[in-house]
Amino acid sequence: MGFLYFPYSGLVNAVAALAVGIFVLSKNFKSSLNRSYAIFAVSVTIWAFNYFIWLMSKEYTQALFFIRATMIGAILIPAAFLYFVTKFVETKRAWVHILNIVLIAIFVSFSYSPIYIQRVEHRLFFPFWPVPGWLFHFMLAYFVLELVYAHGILWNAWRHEDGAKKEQIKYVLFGIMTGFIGGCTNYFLWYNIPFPPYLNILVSGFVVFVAYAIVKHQLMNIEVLIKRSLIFASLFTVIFGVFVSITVLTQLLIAGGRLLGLAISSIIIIFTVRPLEDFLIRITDKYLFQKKYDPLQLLKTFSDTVLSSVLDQTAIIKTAVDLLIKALGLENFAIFLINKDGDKYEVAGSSGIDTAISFSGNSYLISYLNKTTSLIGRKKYESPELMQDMDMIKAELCIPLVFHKNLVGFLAFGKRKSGNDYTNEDIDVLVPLTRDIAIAVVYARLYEDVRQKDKLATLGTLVAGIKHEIGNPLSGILTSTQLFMKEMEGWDALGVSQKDRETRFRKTLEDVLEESRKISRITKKFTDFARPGDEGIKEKVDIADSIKNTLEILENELTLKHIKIEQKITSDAPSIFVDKDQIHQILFNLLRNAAQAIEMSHKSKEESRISIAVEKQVEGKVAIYISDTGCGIPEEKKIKIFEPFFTTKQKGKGTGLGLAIVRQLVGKNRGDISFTSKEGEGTTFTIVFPVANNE
Amino acid sequence: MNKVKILLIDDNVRFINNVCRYLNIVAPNYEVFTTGTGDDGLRILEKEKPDLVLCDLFMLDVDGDEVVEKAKVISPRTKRIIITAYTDEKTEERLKKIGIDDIIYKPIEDIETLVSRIKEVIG
Repeated sequence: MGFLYFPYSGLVNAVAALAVGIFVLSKNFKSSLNRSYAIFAVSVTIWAFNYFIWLMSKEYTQALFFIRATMIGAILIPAAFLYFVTKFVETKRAWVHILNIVLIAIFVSFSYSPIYIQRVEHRLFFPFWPVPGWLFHFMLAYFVLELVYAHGILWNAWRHEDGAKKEQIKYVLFGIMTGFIGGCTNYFLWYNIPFPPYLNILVSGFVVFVAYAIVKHQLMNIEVLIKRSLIFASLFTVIFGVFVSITVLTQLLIAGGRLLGLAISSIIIIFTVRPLEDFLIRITDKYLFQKKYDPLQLLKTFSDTVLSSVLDQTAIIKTAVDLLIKALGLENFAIFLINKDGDKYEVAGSSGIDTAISFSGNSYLISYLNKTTSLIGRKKYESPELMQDMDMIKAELCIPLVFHKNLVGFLAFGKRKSGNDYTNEDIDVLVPLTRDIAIAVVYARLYEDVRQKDKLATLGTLVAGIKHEIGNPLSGILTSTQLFMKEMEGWDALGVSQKDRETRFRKTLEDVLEESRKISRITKKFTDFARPGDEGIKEKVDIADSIKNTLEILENELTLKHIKIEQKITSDAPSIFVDKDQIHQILFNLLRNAAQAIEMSHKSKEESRISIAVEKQVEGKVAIYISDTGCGIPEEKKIKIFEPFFTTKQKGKGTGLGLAIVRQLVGKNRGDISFTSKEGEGTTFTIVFPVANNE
Repeated sequence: MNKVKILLIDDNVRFINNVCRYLNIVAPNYEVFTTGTGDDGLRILEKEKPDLVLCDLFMLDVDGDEVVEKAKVISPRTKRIIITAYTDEKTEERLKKIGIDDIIYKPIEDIETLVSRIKEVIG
């Protein structure tokens, strides 16, 4: 029975080679690379299939005919392989191919003559083993030389290529070595060396390696969408095999046991299907998909996160760093961004890289990225200066961040923990991702700039308020003192008594003191409103206090606009745990907006009103309502009001950031903001915060 | 000799009282009326038809620009000075349309300047 291994190894080789050959050709019939592979696969099939028939032959002439047919396949194999290799590594060796065709023609034309194979005879346990003629030795020499040559081409290409191609070449090289080591064991017996072709099955090893390279590294640009289909095809094959063998076995063992055989195999199938399926899914996932990541998922996660934190450059960078390190399994990674002065590229976010590194605009790396705005891989470009820059940041791959032809920065990808190189597939995902990052960064920087302007605008309101509020007491002091001095000039002439003089003097001082105290109170009020440098510190804050404080600040503006304030704040309004300055900023922005909305509506004094209410809600929350009788928000603008840079105010009046900042700050303090509005009637903003814990 | 009638309207009571008393010393030929509200100011305007009204721009009841606009109708011969801490474009435009004789910015560091501006406008 063991003898059957040899013919069946040939059959397996033939089927495997033909199957992959047809698959490759079907994926891209027009590609000369795929065609060359198919020619090679057909050569192997001719050889292996005839090999099977030859070893199964029961008589002399049949065996001789088919061993000669087998050797036609053997003649074709090396030339076909060399042809495939030259296509694969994209090199032209026209003279080699012409020479090969001539040699093939010679060998094939003599393949049925005794000078090639004399006869077949019994060797070891093979009844019909060929005895070589003198031409056979030349054929074998040609065979070996061709193979050495093809290996040389592959080896050379492997050393010079990088990325996915390098991986592909590696597998083709491994595959062909395995295949030919297996195939070579056929030739010992030709020279009377008593070693049978035990390793013949390894010829299929080539097919296995090529199939793996196709799935994993898109060999011949074939993208295989397998997983499920592959798993079930394998499952089916295995089950079918089990079914057949068990049926055959039981038929052999038990006379008339067809039914019993069926029953046994059915039971086995029922109990093995699920575990087998799981097992197959596990191993496919482990070996074929292990290092794959879902590019769509990566892009989606990134854009989701970026959209929610789009206004914050630090958050964008952090998201990008975390996401890419995880998805690609990077040893180190850095994002470099151009600094504010625009003269240096500095580390904005990184892992495993010295953050002090920066590149000036005329460094090799930056000049290159600026000039080409295309990515830099490791081995393709040989400029040592460029490689030195890449070495400094341990980068295998650099992708520029370009916005409107300006180099905003670049991403420096380090080695991958898996040891895999970056493939074209990776780059196809990373390039659009970097485009997103570039836009997000530019947008965030723009926001930061406008936000500074908005701060200045807020400051303008505050300064105007301060000026007006301090102006009154100051005018009192200035006029009181000057009046007193003017009066003094006339005292002697008028003969004012000492006592009257003292009374008058005391009165003036009292006036000055009173007005000075007013100024002191005003400055305290404004410093209470915003304490620079305390950002982010959360504390227990009394809502009523904060509202009072903010109203005092806005008092001047509200008075000038003749706006009445109605407050419905119960004495038991709970405290909230927030950043006090940020709450002031939120209230300030909302109240000022309300005042401006009323001003824009040109309502009468009686109708100019802002109502503020605080209401305890269920589930440990408290709501603050700010309603105005202003112009309201038109329906079509409602979805946009929280967007940065959106404004309904006149040109130059608003930066369009007020509500965007409010929403951001409310979010930072774990609150929610919503609004209802009716055009022409007014708007109510509702902000809800969790109540501070009592401890 | 007829006294020159001057009306001061400003809700900063201490300020106008001081200015009033100062004017009494340095310009005894002025008769100075003062009030803290726009409404009151308009009543005095109608009754006294002063030579000059000096009015604060922002007040609780009626704004200064409204007062000077009405003054133009009530008492066309009265010269008008606006006194304010600041103006915005819109108000400035409005004031230009109404036509005023001078605008003085607060705080007034030297009363003498105020006095000379008043004298200048009265002529």
